Amino acid sequence: MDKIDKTEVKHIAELASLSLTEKEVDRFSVDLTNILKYINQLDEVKVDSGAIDNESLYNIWREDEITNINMRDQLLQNTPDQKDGFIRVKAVFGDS
Amino acid sequence: MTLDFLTIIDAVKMLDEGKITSVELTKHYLDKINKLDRKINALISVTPDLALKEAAKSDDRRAKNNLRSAIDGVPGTLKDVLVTQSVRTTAASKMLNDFIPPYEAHVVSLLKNAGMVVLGKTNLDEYAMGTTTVNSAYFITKNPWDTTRVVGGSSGGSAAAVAADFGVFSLGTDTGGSIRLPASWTNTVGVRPTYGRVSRNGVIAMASSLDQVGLFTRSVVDAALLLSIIAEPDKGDSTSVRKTVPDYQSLLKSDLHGITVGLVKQFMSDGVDENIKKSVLEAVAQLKSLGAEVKEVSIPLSEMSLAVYMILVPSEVSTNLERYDGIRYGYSGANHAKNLKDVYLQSRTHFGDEAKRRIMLGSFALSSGYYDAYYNKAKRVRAMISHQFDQVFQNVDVLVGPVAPSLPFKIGDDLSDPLKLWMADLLAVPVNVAGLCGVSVPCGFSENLPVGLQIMGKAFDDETILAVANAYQKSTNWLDSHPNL
Repeated sequence: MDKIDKTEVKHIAELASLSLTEKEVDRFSVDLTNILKYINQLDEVKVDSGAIDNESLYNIWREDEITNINMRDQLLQNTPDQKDGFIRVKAVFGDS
Repeated sequence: MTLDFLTIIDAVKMLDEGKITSVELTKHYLDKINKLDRKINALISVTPDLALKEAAKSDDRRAKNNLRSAIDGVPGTLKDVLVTQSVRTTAASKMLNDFIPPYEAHVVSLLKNAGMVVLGKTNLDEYAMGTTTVNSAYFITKNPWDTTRVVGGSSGGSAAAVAADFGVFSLGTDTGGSIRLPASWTNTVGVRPTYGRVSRNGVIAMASSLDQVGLFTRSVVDAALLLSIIAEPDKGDSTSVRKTVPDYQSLLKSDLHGITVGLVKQFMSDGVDENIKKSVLEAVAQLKSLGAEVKEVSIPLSEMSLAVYMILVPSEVSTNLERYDGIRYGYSGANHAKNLKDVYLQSRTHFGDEAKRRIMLGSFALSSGYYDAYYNKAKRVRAMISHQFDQVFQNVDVLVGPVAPSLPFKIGDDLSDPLKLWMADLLAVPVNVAGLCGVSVPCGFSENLPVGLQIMGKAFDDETILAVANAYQKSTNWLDSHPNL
């Protein structure tokens, strides 16, 4: 990929739940294209079959112990909209 | 009796000898911040009441001979990306302008339990995304050495706070140079420990496979002392490695016989400022005179680190920043929204430019059709870079080179080209991408601006980079120079 045009920018913004102004769309098209040009130097690197990613990585598990309890009020202190200890959200469809 | 530019060791000695109390020391720094921070803008929040309360408790413990650690009563600051229970934490984003964390970051608990007095929270690039601390949603932190220049980033407030003497030390984070770069531009010691050595629990996440907490201090001894406190393993972070914590201070060296130092060819390329290279070569000669054997080494793939980083970081950013949806905490645009999707869209307009840019780039690199070409490729090249470093480390104990390819940028210079800003981290990111540890230690001045020497080590060999940095620092006097404010 050589260029991220305005249509592509709008498509990515939709994926990322970002609402961009027309000015931002213009700017990001230029910025992302320039960044991509730099990133594309990775094309020079031939990935050898020996380079298995994360070969040394493994999962770390622990017992699921309950440590912090009764923190409802503290956890809700930053919540913009709440009622009776619940978080209130807008309807998924249509106007609410 | 001067209180200027104390190290932890100096401060503790004065406290122990009864020459000063922690309350007096804390007041001294609060006064200094009050008087001088308007020139620098190092701090987003100052917490005088809490600081004085903790200082009084420390004095009480000292009187009862009941000290908690070797830093009890010593005042410092925290990067505002480390959550502090009941104290506003912003990550320098408008998204978190009113955020009061319900819990404490693990490192903050460790330091408070050790008796640290927290003076306040320092400025940064929004969500730690940047190399200048110009991307803060609040204000630009200025370089104490030249207030017309940037301080570096993203932990710029912490670097400035230590350089300007607003407290004895500071905690930052380093995802791709965010401690070492501002340390090199402010004549301070900056340590990025190995990924996994320090818990990330309570660090507002940017790129989780690279983020790491580290330190700014005025001596390597201080850094070693603090690292032994914050490296305590944590159940709350599964990447915090269950290794015993070395007593880093006792492992410091002043003689480097038996140590092999590799000067990395790729770090001395044409793109690096000539005067910086000159300072680094002088530092390498100094290491040699301390007994180290010096070799030139080549790590060709290290040059691909920034390209890899520019894919991995935005990818992780785009996932980590999904959580800012205006529902549970942070800014909410619900008042202007007609349905749930609209709440997300209205809320997320509050991200700054760089955050949006990285979310966009990351969403692109992870999107269907491009995942293999970008994200997967970057991951594989990352493994190859790591492998190449491992091979070189079979023949050398540490690697050295410059930290920054240039001197700090002028504020108001064209800082709108995102690529130019990423490039400042060119020599810092290999450490993060390869999962190593690194320290920046002052090694001279160019045009009256500080220059840093970078010392890089194997994963979990933090003691050796500190040992070499200490030997170098003890044999030079760069850290005796301070900015005039």
